Amino acid sequence: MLSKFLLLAGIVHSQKNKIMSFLSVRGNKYLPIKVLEGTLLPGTIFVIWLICSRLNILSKDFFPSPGDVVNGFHEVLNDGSFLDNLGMSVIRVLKGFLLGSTVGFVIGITLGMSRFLEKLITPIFNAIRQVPLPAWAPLLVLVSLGEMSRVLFIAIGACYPVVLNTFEGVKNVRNDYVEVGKVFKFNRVQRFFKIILPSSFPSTLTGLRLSLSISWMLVVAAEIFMTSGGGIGEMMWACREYSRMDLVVVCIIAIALVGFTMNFFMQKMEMFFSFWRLTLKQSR
Amino acid sequence: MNTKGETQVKTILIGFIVPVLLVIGLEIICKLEIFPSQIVVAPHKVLITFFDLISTGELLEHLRISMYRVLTGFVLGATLGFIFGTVMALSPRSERIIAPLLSALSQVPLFGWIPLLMLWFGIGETFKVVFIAFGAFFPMLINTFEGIHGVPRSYLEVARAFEFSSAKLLHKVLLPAALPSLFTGIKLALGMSWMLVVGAELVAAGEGVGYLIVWGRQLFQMDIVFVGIAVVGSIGYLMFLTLNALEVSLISWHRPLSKK
Amino acid sequence: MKSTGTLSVTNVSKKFRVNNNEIHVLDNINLSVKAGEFISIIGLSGCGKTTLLRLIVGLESDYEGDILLDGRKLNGPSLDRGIVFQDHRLFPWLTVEKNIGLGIVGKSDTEKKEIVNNHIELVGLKGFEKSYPYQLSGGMSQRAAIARSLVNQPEILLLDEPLGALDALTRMYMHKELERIWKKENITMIMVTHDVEEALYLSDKIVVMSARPGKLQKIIPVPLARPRDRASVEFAEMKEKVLEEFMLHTEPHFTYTI
Ligand SMILES: Nc1ncnc2c1ncn2[C@@H]1O[C@H](COP(=O)(O)OP(=O)(O)OP(=O)(O)O)[C@@H](O)[C@H]1O
Ligand SMILES: [Mg+2]
Repeated sequence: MLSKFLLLAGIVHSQKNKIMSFLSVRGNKYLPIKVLEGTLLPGTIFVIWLICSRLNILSKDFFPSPGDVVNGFHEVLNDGSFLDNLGMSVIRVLKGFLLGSTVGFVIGITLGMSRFLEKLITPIFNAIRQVPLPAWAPLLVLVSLGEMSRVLFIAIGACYPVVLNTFEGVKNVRNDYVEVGKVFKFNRVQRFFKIILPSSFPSTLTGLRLSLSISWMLVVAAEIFMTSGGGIGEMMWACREYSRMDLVVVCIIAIALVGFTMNFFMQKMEMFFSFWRLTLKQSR
Repeated sequence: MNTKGETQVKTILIGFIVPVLLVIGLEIICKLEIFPSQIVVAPHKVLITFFDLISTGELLEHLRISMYRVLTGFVLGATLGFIFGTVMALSPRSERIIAPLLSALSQVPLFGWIPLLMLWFGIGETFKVVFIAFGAFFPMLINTFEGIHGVPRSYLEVARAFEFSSAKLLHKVLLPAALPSLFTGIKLALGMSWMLVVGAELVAAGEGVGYLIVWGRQLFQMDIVFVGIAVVGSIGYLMFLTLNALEVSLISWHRPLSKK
Repeated sequence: MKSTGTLSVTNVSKKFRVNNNEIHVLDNINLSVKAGEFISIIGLSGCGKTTLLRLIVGLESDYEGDILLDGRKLNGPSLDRGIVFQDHRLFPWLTVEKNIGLGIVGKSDTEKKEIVNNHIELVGLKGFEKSYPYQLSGGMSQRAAIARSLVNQPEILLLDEPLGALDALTRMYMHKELERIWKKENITMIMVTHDVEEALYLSDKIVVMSARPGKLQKIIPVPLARPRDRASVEFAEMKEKVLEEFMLHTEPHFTYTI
């Protein structure tokens, strides 16, 4: 076990520069010191944790040792339950996210394009938005749509940021650009596809990024509030019932990593598609 | 001016069209008994249930309990967030030491903490308060940090020119300049707390508005569920509006001061 | 010689309403432009030059008086009138060639490509087809904007301080370019500018406007032979004449404000 860790650490160390530049950490000569400072606190906690569990000061039920966590990870990895559940959650979150963000996009565009619909829909939309997201769970359970309930639950939360940001983006399309369209006699369809959509797209992407991160938070909630559909949240919930603290920790680390990865790629995508917002100076 | 007032009234009236149609539609659907009553419930029944729950004092008791949890958790989490945010903004070294750990922790989707916290703290009040505090902590931390970090250099130079002490610097320059951002943090933190109390009460509680909703579900009484949803929505909105009003009055109070 | 591109502006006035106040921006403007002419409009900032161009291009509709193009009354924007805005207004999310091709309608893809290529060549942007606006200099952006406004072969091209943001040397170079394009395309051009030399170098007539409300103060013909020589005596004399026109009117104005 230890040798594997050392090997991994060696690989990470040898690839440090690549990893750093991939994570686009500002490179400067103080970086090693700064990184060292950053690992100070987690390192200390880790060492204390290690020592305490070695000396059996802490109850294993509440504070599993790092070794327990690694063993637990091995266990659920080998019996396949970990990846199965993680996969279920990822698929579920994608369904909810796609549904919610598509609906949100359509609503956002519609409200942004039509003054009348804006006045008609915005008040009720804002009223519904006030409901804390978990409160929808019992309602959706009662309607008993099975898997659809969980997906809908995620979709509700996923839709808000997309609506708000798309709406904002459409509203902020510069009138200057709309006038260019007028000079070229664009019709409504052309105006939409050639001006409004591309110009508001970066704002929509921001909405999509927020939406995906909310979706990931909600998939865990959905699986805890509406059990029996599988998924990493439900797995955590079951581990809690069996007091398998080690597995709970494994799951927490896993959902944090997946969440981080999703957010990271959404951020990269956002930057990629907003490149034209650069100015000449920034591009050089 | 007259026409302006008229169009405003018109705008508000247009906003009522959809809700009114929704209520009428639901009433008709219920009259025709198209869906079982556990799926669609007539709005007037929800209203009756609402007044029932008020008159028995049940609703207010649930609300009181939830409120107490939210405020405890919020105060705890927001205070810690404020302290950490301030320290991190004032000392770059402390930022470098603390930030990586905190940002790693903030990667965990909030509801993912529930099983862990329940194992540690049981299903009682401590669990709920800690969970809520967790949710309030991060938005407050980030906004405090950004607020103080983003104070314009020119203000700091003024402070240096007058040789302010650190306490005076914090009190006279940093906090007022960071106030808008702090308020954003408070609003987000309170909103988050309100969301999390409902979440916590769904999984582990015998009272509170979240529990009321679950209880309605267990009895297959859609009207109770709807009352619960409407109440948590309205209370959340009320809290938001109150904070907004407070923000407006506080910040306009600070503006003339900073101009003098 | 083209027979189209004749513009006549008669008794045009324009008011804006701002918070129940009426601002009288243009007052009784009369102007007639022959086909193929190059006209410059000079006037103090805020005197209504942009507004006049916006009326002619059809972006503002609520005005008094008549604006006729080839004897026909205007009805909103139309592809027979092009405009180069004061800020280039290229779409930042499109490449140069896509921006230039933006307004082309009713053409097959190959025709479209050819038109775009011709115009890229016309304004000297070869090699920058795939660049985005943020990768262009100010002068290149303006040239792309000019190309974009020419693709539909308008009868009349309106230019709102197209070179305002450029340095003096680039500007002189662009004057040559504009003259070349004007001759090649053989269209009517109306250009707003603050630069008297620029107006003298390019125009057949210079229209001097006065401010608050915007009025036509004087129309000065420029009978110099082309290509014009900035260093010539005649050029200097004309310049003096235009500036005089300006000073006379602006002197009292300056004593009030400064
Ligand atoms: N949409 C509008 N609403 C109200 N007032 C306007 C509007 N557009 C222009 N004005 C006013 O009309 C006047 C003339 O504006 P215009 O933009 O035509 O000036 P200009 O001659 O082009 O100035 P510059 O040389 O600075 O570009 C200004 O006083 C301006 O405030
Ligand atoms: Mg102008």
